[in-house]
Amino acid sequence: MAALKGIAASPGVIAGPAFVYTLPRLDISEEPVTADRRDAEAAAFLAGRLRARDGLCVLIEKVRAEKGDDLAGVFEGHLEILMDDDLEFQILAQIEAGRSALAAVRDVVDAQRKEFLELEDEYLRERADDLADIGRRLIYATASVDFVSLATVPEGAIIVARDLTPSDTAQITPGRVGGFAVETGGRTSHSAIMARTLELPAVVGCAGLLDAVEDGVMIALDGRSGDIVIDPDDAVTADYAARRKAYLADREAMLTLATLPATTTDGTTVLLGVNIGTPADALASLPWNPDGVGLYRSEFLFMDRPTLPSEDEQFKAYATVVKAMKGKSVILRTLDIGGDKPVAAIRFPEEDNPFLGWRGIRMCLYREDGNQDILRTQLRAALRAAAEGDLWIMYPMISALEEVEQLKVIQDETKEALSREGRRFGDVKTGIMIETPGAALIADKLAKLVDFFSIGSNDLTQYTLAADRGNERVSRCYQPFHPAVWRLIALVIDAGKAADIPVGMCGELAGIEEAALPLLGLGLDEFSMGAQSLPRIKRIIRATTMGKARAAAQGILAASTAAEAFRVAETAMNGVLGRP
Amino acid sequence: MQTQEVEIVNPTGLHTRPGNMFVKKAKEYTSAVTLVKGDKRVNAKSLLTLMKAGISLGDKVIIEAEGPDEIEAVQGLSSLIASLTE
Repeated sequence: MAALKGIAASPGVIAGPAFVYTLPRLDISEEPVTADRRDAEAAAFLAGRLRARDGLCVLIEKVRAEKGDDLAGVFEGHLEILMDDDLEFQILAQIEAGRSALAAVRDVVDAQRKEFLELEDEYLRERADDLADIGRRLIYATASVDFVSLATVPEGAIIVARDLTPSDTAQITPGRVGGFAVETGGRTSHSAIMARTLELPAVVGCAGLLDAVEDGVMIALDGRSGDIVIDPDDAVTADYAARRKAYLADREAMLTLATLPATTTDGTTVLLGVNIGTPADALASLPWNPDGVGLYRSEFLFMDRPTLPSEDEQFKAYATVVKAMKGKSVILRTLDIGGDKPVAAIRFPEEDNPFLGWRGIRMCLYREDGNQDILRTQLRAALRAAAEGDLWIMYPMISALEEVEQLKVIQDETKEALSREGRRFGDVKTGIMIETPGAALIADKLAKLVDFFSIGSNDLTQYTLAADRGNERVSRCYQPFHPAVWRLIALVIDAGKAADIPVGMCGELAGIEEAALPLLGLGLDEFSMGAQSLPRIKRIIRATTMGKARAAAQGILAASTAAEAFRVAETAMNGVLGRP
Repeated sequence: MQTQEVEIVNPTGLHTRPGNMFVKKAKEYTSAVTLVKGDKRVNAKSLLTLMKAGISLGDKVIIEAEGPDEIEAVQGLSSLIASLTE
């Protein structure tokens, strides 16, 4: 028995035999091929392509039978590209020039993939993964090396791999595969996102996994903690079986809760929104029935690519989210990046203090050349998408009132320009994030200029306590329950109430169960969090009265330390949930 | 030569599956078929080159056909594009 720890990527508990999914290494000759052997290399490629075609035809029929015509159609597209004349011509030309068949296939497919990665349209850019899949099939067939396909995973097995591409996961049948564990990636990698979409328990970023696991050995996996046990003994097996049973019962109860409103026993209703990064996240959140999107992080559209997304591309993404939410509000946060999380298309100078530097709205407003087109383009796309539903625009990293004034002017100018061009656009609500102590302290003044506030509790905590939680030596100083943070939160909510504008929270605190009662008691109108936290927070809100929530808020504001504040909150929560 | 301008109406544009349907249809005709998007001209019978043209929602493209069945080709392919829904 051996234990490993990875990153918890998708909740669920499962035990089953490991299905090790590895690709054998290919020996690709880089040596020039002599003229007399070139025909043989060309023949090897053409024969390999026929083998690849046969394999693909088998897969198409299997996918058609198991998953229907839609997905089978994707692989029919693979077949069409595999047999493409242009691809064949390029590979044969490389072989004619003296490359080995394998090197020619690899290089031509790579070059084609790169062309896809440069496309503007997100859907088409993602087709680079299709090309990688086709290329892999072709090169192994050309080398006459078999590799197992994920379509042949035994029932109930746990897939163990270095990484899984989206084209791998397309072949996974959720009811058939138990879950998966991969060596690479983080919570937002493709494999992790797909695991959550397919609702499969999964652990990612698990170093040493492939060295430790042999094909067919039993493994137990907990996708909530990131724990993996290889060859578990009877006690561990029983423990995981019990964990699995409890998880499934809990999940069932949570899905039932999703259909009910977040209303206290004495009739106060608050909104529970969801935090998302992509249109796919919005769709994945729908089973949890959120009241809206409380935070749409637009920066995901700008990451992992060499160029900025065009106005049309942004419009499509924003409109997709707005439509998916069917009339519920969607709060779009404008580009929020800084020196610590740069994007390739924007040049960031070296900074001594990126967290105190050119980030968020500052990066959009304060530019050496005065060119604010990144923001203006985004606003054009957002205003156009607002015609498709209920979109709110939110500006991050505000620290001064003049910034809000300037942003409102830019937003008005953008509207006028769209209007002059006769473009269709919609009305929006305009709000700001409160995440600097400075903004919190002048919230009464800021409230007069905007339609809503959203408290960014993560940054508000780190700026208030001057503690970088990523820095191990001071992460203990980062205390979300520190009374100083809560006094600022109270100040912001009171300012919102006085000006009659709604106040939400989209930081992690909004999804922490112990924080739910005091936030409710302070008068928070909207809580926004990861979709899977929604029912847990809702359960607490539905179990309390406003009186108990206000008492918890008073208790936290009166506390002297973070530990004391947390105890107050925890006791209050256990009280309403009927726990000891 | 026959030409016809069409607008892409399906949200995902000519990606793998709709693109393949289009290429399959184009191959039913003996005429040479070209898709024109701005200054890009691509062979409508190659899915690989078609996808690389990056044809997406809201784009206006011209279908050009030249050959014995050019009228049928332009008509058939225009109505196929108009009927794509995903």
